[in-house]
Amino acid sequence: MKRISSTILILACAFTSNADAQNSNTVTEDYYTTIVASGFEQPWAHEFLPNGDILVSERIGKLKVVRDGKILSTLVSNLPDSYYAGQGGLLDIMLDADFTDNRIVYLSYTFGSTEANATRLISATLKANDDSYSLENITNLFTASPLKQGPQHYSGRIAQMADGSLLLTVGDGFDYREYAQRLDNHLGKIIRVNRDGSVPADNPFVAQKGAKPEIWSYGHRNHQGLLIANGVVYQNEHGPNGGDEVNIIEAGLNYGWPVITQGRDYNGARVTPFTTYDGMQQPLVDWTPSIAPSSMTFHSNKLYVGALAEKSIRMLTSDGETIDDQGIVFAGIEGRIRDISVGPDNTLYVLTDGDKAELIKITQTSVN
Amino acid sequence: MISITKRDLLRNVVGLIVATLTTAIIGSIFSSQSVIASLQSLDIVVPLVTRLSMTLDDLAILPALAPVTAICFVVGFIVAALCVRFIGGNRTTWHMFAGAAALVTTLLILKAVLLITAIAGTRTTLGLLSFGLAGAVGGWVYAKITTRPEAVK
Repeated sequence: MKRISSTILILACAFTSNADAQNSNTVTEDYYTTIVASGFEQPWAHEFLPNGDILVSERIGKLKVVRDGKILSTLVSNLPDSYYAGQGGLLDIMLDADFTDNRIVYLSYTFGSTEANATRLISATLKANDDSYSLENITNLFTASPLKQGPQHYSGRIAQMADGSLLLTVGDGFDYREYAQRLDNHLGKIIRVNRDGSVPADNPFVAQKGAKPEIWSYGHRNHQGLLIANGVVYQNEHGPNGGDEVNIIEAGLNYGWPVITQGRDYNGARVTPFTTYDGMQQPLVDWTPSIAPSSMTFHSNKLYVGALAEKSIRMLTSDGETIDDQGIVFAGIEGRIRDISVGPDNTLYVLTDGDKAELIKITQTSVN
Repeated sequence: MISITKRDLLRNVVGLIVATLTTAIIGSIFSSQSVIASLQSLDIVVPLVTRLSMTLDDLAILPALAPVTAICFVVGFIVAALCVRFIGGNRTTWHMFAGAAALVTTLLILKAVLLITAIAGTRTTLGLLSFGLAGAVGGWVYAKITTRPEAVK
């Protein structure tokens, strides 16, 4: 167990060109960390089961079980084959809101080949076996269209709305960025489907000719974070070189990519001459330079966002209409943060990224 | 046997630098127009002043693009020189072809390795061919600068 104790530290570092764009404060709290389990390979998400087991998805196509601090040698069986390359593979996992009764889990993953691939959402029944679990009754709920080339920008984060319908982030496919502005495809969108994969009748573009009926919002790039808290849908997405965003998502709205962004292409060129445009939503938080936000969670009326490039956790506050970035929190935790959640014991858990990744419990002893 | 004087070497270095910069600038300009055309295909209105501003701003790509272009040209122009020597034909034409082929081939190799397009303006066939045209202009510039004065006479 690693104990870290310090006082509030606020560094009002002034970035010359980005001082207005990014809060560089560091908020340090009293906390300690506990490594719950380690040795994951390319993990992407984790989920707590009611019996105390923890499921951890690995992009390499494995769904592992953590029981009493150890990774079981037997994997969850009967997973569909995923296309593991670039940013693709097995991605998110989420329990249904009525999991205790129906044992249904949702998984997102990428399937196909380098030449033709897509983000897919499935549901399955999680059956408990003697030493692990298996997936039964696998149902394909949604497959992004069209199939695209290249293994980048799948997104794949799942959230469930109060009415039981499911939201899924679908990335722009990198080379297909203009598709995010068109409604005749699923790239660069948040889509919404019912638990059985059918399209909700109140989706915003159901009646629009030529539009994909699953689309719930559009103009997104590579959205790695999606969270519903107090009825508000929070989303974050990676800009290119700069232009990472946190948005509050409303049905039918256009979030601008690639027409508006604060980011540039990785080679230094502009993606667009615009940072504002009529009919397109401004981000509520912009991170330039990029921090590469991953998943988000809500705890004690605060949003916590993991970051890959910045190797940090950021704390945000929101009144449901605006969002304020309070800065980096738990600064002693190192490594690329891939996933963050609140466990059944009401404490924060983070999953680090890459090979030999760890699941870490963060116990706060004071909140500043 | 080919004898290379200091003057020849200097001419080749200057030719390579000028050709590289010419191609990188033209390529950057073409890429900007390709990206703007993609936005316009979404019914986004791009005023002329905005277009010019972005085109100038995009020259920020030069520190990344110029070294890659220079490496392409070194390989391409060596091959062109060998073709002139052993196959014959017009030296300028060979270098224009070599400049275009070297740049397009490099962009295709980069895409095959990275599995993404490194320069957004080359995602379309037209955008890729425009970089080929930029490479051909570079080849022409190099051929003209490196032509020996006695050959001109």
